[in-house]
Amino acid sequence: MKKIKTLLISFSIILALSIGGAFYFNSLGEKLGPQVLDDCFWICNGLGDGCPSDELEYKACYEKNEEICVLCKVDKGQKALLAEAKQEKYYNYMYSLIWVSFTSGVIILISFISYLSIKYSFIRTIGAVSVLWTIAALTSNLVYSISTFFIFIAPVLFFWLFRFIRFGPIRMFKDG
Amino acid sequence: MKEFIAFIAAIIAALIFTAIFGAIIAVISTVIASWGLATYSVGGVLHTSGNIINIFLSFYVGYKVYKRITRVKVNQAEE
Repeated sequence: MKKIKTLLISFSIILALSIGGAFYFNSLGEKLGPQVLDDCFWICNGLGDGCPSDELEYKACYEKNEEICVLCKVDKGQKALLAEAKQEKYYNYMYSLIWVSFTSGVIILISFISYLSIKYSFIRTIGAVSVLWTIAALTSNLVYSISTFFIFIAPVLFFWLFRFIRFGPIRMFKDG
Repeated sequence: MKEFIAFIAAIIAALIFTAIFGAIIAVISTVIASWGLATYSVGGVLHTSGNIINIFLSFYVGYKVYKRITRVKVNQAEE
């Protein structure tokens, strides 16, 4: 029981820290958004914008803008590359932390179910989990057909089917 | 009458088992094919063979359910 409590507390702390960390690195990455990465985007994209309709004048204007675009890329290119590398690094940290939080979430769930099973009743806990699992499957966006619904509730149904075959219709709902 | 109820329950259990196991087999065969361990045509063969196994397994599950219900009824009658 002590071990389960320790697991619950320690992984809750890990979960909180990893979720916080993921949000933090996400915000750091977002700050290095399009403005920083594509400083020259508007200049280079609108090369002919605002130029006169006269063909010769348009050409001269376009070439001038093109020159400004190239200069901008030379000037800011290095900075943009560095920002991109930094952003990728932050996002990699974020994805790793999301995996850590997902894993610790699963461990917390298993520990919590074990805790309830030991403290109260194993079969009642599993019964409650089965009901919640079925409701979650019914309301989830991932379940879009009867086949996916069956895949989702397969562990629950197989468990109760096993209990029925092994212990019979009366003893299947009793502990021990 | 008891046997008849057990038979109906066995059929329902077998049908539910077939539906679940069939869906799982469909996913597994597609995943195996997508990993490149087999071509998609072989994935189809895997699906078919899985379904054949599924039929036998569902018969087995239905039989076990039938036996369990009738056994419980017999025990109760003895008591």
